[in-house]
Amino acid sequence: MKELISINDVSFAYREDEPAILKDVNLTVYAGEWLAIVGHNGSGKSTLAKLLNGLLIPTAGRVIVEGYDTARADELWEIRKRVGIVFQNPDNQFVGTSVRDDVAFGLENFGVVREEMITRIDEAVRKVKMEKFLDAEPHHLSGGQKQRVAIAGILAQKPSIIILDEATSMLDPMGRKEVIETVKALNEQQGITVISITHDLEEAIRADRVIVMKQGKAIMQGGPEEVFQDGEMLIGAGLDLPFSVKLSLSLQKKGIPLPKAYLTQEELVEALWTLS
Amino acid sequence: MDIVIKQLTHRYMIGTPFERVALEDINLQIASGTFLAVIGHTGSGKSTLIQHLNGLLKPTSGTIAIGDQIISAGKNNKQLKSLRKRVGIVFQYPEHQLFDETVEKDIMFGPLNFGASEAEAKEKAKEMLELVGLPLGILSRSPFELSGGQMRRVAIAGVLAMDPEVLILDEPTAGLDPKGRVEIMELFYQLHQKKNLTTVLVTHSMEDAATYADKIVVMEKGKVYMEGSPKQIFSERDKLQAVGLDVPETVQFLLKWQNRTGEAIDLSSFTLDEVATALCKQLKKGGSSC
Repeated sequence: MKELISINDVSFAYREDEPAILKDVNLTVYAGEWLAIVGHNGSGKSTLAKLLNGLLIPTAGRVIVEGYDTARADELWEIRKRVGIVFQNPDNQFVGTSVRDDVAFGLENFGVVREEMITRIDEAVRKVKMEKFLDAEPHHLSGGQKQRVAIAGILAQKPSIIILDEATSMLDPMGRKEVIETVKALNEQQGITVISITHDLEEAIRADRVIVMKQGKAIMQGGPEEVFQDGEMLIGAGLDLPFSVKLSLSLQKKGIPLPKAYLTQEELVEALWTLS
Repeated sequence: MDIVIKQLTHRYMIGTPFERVALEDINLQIASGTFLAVIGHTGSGKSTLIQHLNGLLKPTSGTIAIGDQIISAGKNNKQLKSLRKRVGIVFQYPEHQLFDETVEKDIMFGPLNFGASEAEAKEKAKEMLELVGLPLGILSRSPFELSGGQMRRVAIAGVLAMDPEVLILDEPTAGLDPKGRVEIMELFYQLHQKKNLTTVLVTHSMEDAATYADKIVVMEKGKVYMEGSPKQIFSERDKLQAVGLDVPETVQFLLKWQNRTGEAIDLSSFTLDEVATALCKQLKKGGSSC
């Protein structure tokens, strides 16, 4: 698989006299994957996200995005074009007075010509299914819709990577679903690489790969199947087990001979059905 | 404390072209000691509703009775100060409201405002810090040096320091990691029981509503859309889905299982343990070892 981002021995502290938020992190992000990063509050997840597009520069080590080094000021714009971040609060990211203006903002910064801009805005807004709202003002949109506009703003730059930094945590269940489904479609149909920093374990089990952060270190990485079997490690990292895994374990304790813990409700229902 | 809401209507920006109805003809009775969960999607009126419970917003028409105090339309309410002592609100992201130099001063702010002496307020700060599970060693530290989870606990301690009889919680666990989420909800639930509080929880988590609430109110477009026990509310999945909500994952699982087996199973198991027991019994044909 093609490497898109490589993080080599990265440490980071906000101030020299403060303890490091990230300690010797080594990670690779591959083209086309959906990567979930989970971990307790303060584990360094969001700091890591900001290092990936050069909002923060490592105190030690290097972050290389498609060959560009985030520590080099002259390469930063190339990186920002490739890596877009959707942040937590939908209201803090809307800069335009309408959906169209908001999506145009980033393109103006990159000096895209008007004709090209119009095509790109239309295309990006269509991909997040907000084309009916092109002239809508932000206060008429729901949280989920605002986050989709933020995604369109990133798409218009034709990025290779979208980072969701707890982008669904302030949304209601419906808004959460619409944002995840939008990004899932972009991942599957357009091959956009997704890095999702999340506390939502039900979302993380749908990722291709999961990285668990604890106190500034990446303590485990692997497929969700593998990562979510290790209950002790997850709880030690301030997390919890997904619902179906917990239910599987509880049933095993009650003497139901399930061969393993299942990640999804569907799998568990099938396994129980086979037993009955 | 009993809370009785009668014909409450709230309009925003009256007399402007932007006027809109945020709440319409709300009638609710919350008996003293109830743990009420308010659910509904963003913009359904949940936050507007709870801001009426301590007079942060006043009704356009209708009344809210909190114990013997009545908040009504148009009246200039002199009683608001004592009301605000009795009704504590933990807002979303309460750590954003921390402001003082030290944790101790921050927690003391409320009690001092309501007439406690310096010594009493200090004592209170200690007591509350222990209650929310933080070490006393941080009393002299700046709240802004703490981790996000610790900051939230300090902010909660500040609300609890006023000894409220009614506790309003507006998505108190938003943004916390899974472990922190459980810890904070357990803290509120224990307080609710120990101090015999009346608690109103606004939440997007159907699981929390099912686990902790005695009663659930579903808001939709500024109106009460459904009202009842968790058992009643979560037996109407279609009605919930029609307004973008759903049943808790425990019930979702039982429904899937019921579909697969074609055998009816009690759908009012809301905790994981209850679900496991119900399944175990069905699989072992009523076996006693479940």
